[in-house]
Parts: sequence; structure tokens; C-alpha cells
Amino acid sequence: MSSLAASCHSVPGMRREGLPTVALIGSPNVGKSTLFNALTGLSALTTNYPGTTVEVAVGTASVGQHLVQVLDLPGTYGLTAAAEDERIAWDALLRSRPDAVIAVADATNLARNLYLVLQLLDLGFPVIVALNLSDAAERSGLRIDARRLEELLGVQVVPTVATTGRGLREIATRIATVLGAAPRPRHRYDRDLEHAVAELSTRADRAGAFIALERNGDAASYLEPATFATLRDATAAWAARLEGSSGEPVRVRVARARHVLADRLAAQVTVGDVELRSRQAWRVATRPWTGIPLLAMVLAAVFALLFWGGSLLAGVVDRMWVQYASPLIRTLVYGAAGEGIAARTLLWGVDAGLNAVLSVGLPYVFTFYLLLAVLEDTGYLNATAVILDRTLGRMGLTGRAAIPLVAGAGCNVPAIIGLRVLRTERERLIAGTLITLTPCSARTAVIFGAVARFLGWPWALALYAIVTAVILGAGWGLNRLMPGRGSTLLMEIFPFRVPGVRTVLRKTWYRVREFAFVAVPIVLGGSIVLGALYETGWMRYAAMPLAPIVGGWLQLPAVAGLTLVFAVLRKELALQLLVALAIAQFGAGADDLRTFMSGPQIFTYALVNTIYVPCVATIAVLSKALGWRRAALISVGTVTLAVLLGGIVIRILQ
Amino acid sequence: MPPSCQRLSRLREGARGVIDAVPFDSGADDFAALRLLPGELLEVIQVIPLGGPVLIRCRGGFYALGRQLADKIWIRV
Repeated sequence: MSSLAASCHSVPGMRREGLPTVALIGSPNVGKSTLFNALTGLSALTTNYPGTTVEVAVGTASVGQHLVQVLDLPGTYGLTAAAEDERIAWDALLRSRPDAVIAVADATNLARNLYLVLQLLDLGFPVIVALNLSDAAERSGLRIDARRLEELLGVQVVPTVATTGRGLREIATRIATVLGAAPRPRHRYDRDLEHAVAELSTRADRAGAFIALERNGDAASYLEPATFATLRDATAAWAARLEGSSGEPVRVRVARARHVLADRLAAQVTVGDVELRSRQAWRVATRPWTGIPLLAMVLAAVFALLFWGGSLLAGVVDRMWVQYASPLIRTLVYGAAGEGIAARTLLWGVDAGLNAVLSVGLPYVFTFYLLLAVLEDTGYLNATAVILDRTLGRMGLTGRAAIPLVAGAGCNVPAIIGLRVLRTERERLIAGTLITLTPCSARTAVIFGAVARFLGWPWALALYAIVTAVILGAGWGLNRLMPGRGSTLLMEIFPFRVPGVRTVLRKTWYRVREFAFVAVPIVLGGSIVLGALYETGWMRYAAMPLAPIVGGWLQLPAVAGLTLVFAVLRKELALQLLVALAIAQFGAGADDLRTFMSGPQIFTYALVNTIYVPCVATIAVLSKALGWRRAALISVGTVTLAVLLGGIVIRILQ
Repeated sequence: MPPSCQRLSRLREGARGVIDAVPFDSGADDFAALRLLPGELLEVIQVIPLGGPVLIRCRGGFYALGRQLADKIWIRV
């Protein structure tokens, strides 16, 4: 790849010096991430691609005698489109110049997937093809001759089943053999195109010729300046000739040639034809009059399981904590730090704080992720995206946003991490804002514990109705206000599948781990800060500047305003803290909120708590996903909205 | 457009045709990689009512296309 721009552009912060790099690339939903997780085990971490909000996962794997760094690039169908995730995949490939590329192809749709493989070979990368979903292909009657495909392409082809681990070891041993090797692709396109490429290759090489032909807009940034200068005029002439004979842009002309060749190759190695199985089930799931009731039932089941399974797990963990961990921690802390303010402050973190993560957070998050993985792997979320596309379209989103939005009702943190499935910055920003407005399980606990308990169910439902209206209104408004246009859906659809137990558990585990890494330190730190303010009695002063807003505009007791401020550390804490402070101030009977707050006050309190920015953990992931400026903007925006709405609601109710 | 050309969004379930034009200039979508190219055969397998997406099959595979996108794709029936 001598003609490509020098590697002084190697991607900062993503490449660990000294280790060979292997990039994983493939269409969305072919099992690329499953393969990545299986290869890299526990080492994987996600980072933002420099200068963007698109996340790229990086991990290490040992292959034979080598340790290699593995990049999991965003799912992409090809490498020429302007969509942000495709541009990143393209950029990461050319700038970080991996020593090997594993192209993950869907064996049930070989021809279309070979398009990307051919494109990679045209760019001169040492490629290994992982023929994934080969079990699904066999089940639907397709037989693919991998050896023959190897001969035709001149690269190694390994049938894999990422979900069971079949073919993984072979991939690992093959990686070692291709690292840095000069690829010798054998495929050739039609005569006219090959003629043009051969002519251009005399000035650069094959990869340079394809870049110059296909990226007429920005080829200059990927080629050596000297190469680009010698290629420019010749490229223009050859492009004009190819366009003249075909009547279409040269980019399309090349794409078509690739599809024609991919078709021929696939036909030579495949026996059988594939149908979209379970078409009847798809109809039921996507027609409004059956699909919407089905969706409502699935969501109801998810929440029922969440509350039942989550609270069951939470109860077990909490009992074990109170019985074993808490006494031990207390003995240790009191032993080490005495029984003063310092020790009590520390206990807010290491006892109450950790307990909150383990027994309040993790059981619900685990249950939710488990259900989410099942829904994803059955392909039902794929169908959900189709049925919700129209509704989400009014908010500038596409059906793809359905998944993160649903996840937000469990916990905002993983939902925001899930924003990476959205294709444009605009969509991620709108969906990110809407997720922060979606009541997560912690806020639901406050709504249930304050409103439903003391005012009754109808009031809790009314609160949900207001929040839903706020979410719909915010989405509609943002779509109107933000520059740019909403995107439209273009998504591959898949048959329903029976999910594999191992994949589901593995996926769940990776996500829970990711959540724990983000949430535990923040909750721990936040609880200690809160404890310090509480134990020293400084909390009272912290609330003073807010008195005009809390007492004047929202008409809430000062003690309630205080807990609203500190609930930013952990939302479910608002209510616990309110009861604790109220008992300290008004005496033992104050655990019934009605002794010191009116009905409208309780309602307003829960409403403000629900709408203003979720919690510090959410702000942290939000600034990772969208940048800190936007995270700050969303935070300030939701606080303003919560205060305005709270003041209006209490005036209407009183 | 010849008279037999229709927008993809106007076709009914089960309709087949040949792609006549796709909005390449609209930028982000990779029609080329998905094989949604002029001259390719296409079959409408399902239309989600109330302005929902159109599900199609072509040689590239099975896709869901938002109605606005389907509006800009012309099919020779």
C-alpha cells in the first residue's frame, strides 16, 4: 500500500504501540461483536473514535504466539457512503492500517456480503473471511464450499458460528499466518474496469487506483500528495470514459461491477437458495393491528419481569448484604477510623452506596439486559424498529432508536451507551435527550413510593401521562428546532431466530460489566460527598441559594428541595433522603409524607424529580457519547424544564 | 419518467419491478453496497400501513425502507 498516505496519521489513543492490529469489519447484525467478544475475552473496552461520538471497541487477543490488538469497527455494508459510521470504518482502516482484517460475512446472504470483502481486497488489505452464521445457512439448505471460495479469492475463508465458538480457534491461528503478509487477490472485474485500473496502477498501485476512482471527492486526503498529483488527471480521464460507456457515476459503475462479480463467485460456491423464513410471524409482528398489541404485551411482560425478577434478586442481595457484608464493613471502618464523622461519612459510600449499587442497581440492570439480549437475538427488536418507525419519524428519529429508548426505561446509562446504533449525530442527540427524560427504575421507585403510595394509582398514571407528553413534545420540538433533517430508515431485516443461551448470557455479562465500570465509582464517590454534607450538617447551607426556587416558585418545603438537589447523585435516594431528613426535623411520624406535604406538593416533588437530569452516572456517559458541552446543555435544559413545569403544575393543582 | 414508472411507496404488496432510479445524491445511504441500483429486480413483500416502512426483497437481501426514502425510489413495473 505504498501509495497510501503515511502512517503519521495513525489513530491516536487507539493503537497500542508495538502490537500488531487486527480489524473486525462486517455488516450490522452478522455477529461481528459476538466474534469480537469471544476473541478478546475480558480485555475489551470501548472508546470514542477520535474527534467523533462514534464508539469503537478495542481489545487484545492472543493468536498463536502473538498478542494482537483487535478493533471492532462500526457495522457497515460498504466503505463508500457518507454516513458517519461508514466513514469511521473507512477512516480507521486507512489511517490505522491494520496488519490484518477479518471480514465477517453472513453465510445466508453470501453474494451481498462478498461486496465488502472485494472492496477490502481492492484496497490491498490482508483479509481473512469469517463465514459466520454458517449453521443458519446449513439449516436453511444452503451449502457453501469454503475451500473453493478460498481458491477463487486467494484469501483464507473460515466457516464460523460465533454464538457457539465454532471456527474461532481456526480464525485465531489463521490470523498469525496473514499478519502483515502481502495479499494476493485473484479476482478480476470486467475488461473495461480492469483496463482503467491497470492504467492507473502504473502511476500508483491497485489500491491507489481504486481510491482515486471511487473517492473522487476526498481521495486527496488518503493518498500521498505526489501520488495524488500524478493520478488526478489520468483518473478524471478514465472516470469520464467509464461514465460515458455506462451512463452512470463511476462510483456506481465500480459498485455494480463488484456486485456482478460477487454474484458470480457466490453462485460458483453455493448450492441452494434462501427465503425469509418465519414470514408469517413477521407479518403478525409488524402489522399495526396485531403488532402494536403484541408490542404492548411484550413491553408489559418486560416490566412485569423486571419488577418481579429484579425485586426478587434485589431482595436476596439486600438480605445478604445486611446480614453479612454490612456488619463486617462497619466493624472494619469503625475499627480503622473510630466512630466519628469521618467513619460515618465513609460508611455512606462503602456500606450504603455499595449496597445501593448491588441491591438496587445491578439486579434490575442485569434482569433488563437479559431480557434485552433475548429480544435482540430473537430478531424481535428488528421487527419493533419497523413498526415504530413512523412514530419515531415525527421526532426526527428512525425505527433504530426504538431499542435505546426502550432500554432507557430500565436504566438510562446502558440506553445512552446503546446510542451507538444510531447513524447520525442529530439522531443521537435527539434520542439522548429523550432517554434522559424517560423514567428509569430509580425514578419509578420514587413515583411509586411517593405518588402511588400516598395519593393513589390514578395520580401515578397522571404523572406518567405528563412525562410521556413531555417526551413526545421534546422530540417533536427538537426535530423542528435542530438544523438538518431527520433520516429515513434503511435497514436489513432478518428472520426470527431462537436465541442461543450462551450468547445471551455472554452479551448480558458484557453489558452489566460495562454498566458496573461506569456506575460503581460514581455512586461510591457521590455517596461519600453526600454523607460528608449530611454528617457535618452542611447540607442545610447548601440549599440556601435555592430557597427562592424551591420555596417561592415550586412551593415545596425547604427539606424537599434539598433532597431534589442531592438526588442527582442517585435518583432513588430522593425519597429515602426526604424521609430521613423529615424524621430528623419533624419527628418519627414523618415517614408518612402527608404529615408535612400536601398532595399537590408530593405530586410536584415526584414530577420534578422525574424530569430533571437523571443522575451523575447518566451525565458521565452522556458526555462520553455526545461530548460534554451537549451533556451540559441537556442537563441545564431538563432542569429548567422540570422547574418550569413543576411551578405550573402546583399552581394548577392548588 | 416513463409512464410505467412509479414511486416505490405507491406499490402494493407482492408487486415486482425493476429499479429505475435511486436518490444517489441524497448522500448518506449506501444504496450501492446494498445493491439497490438501477436495473436491479425488486419485490415488495410487505407495506406497513399508516405511513410505515416498505419491506422489500432484492438480490442484495431483505430490507426495510422508510416511507420517505421509498418515495424517492422509482420502479419500472
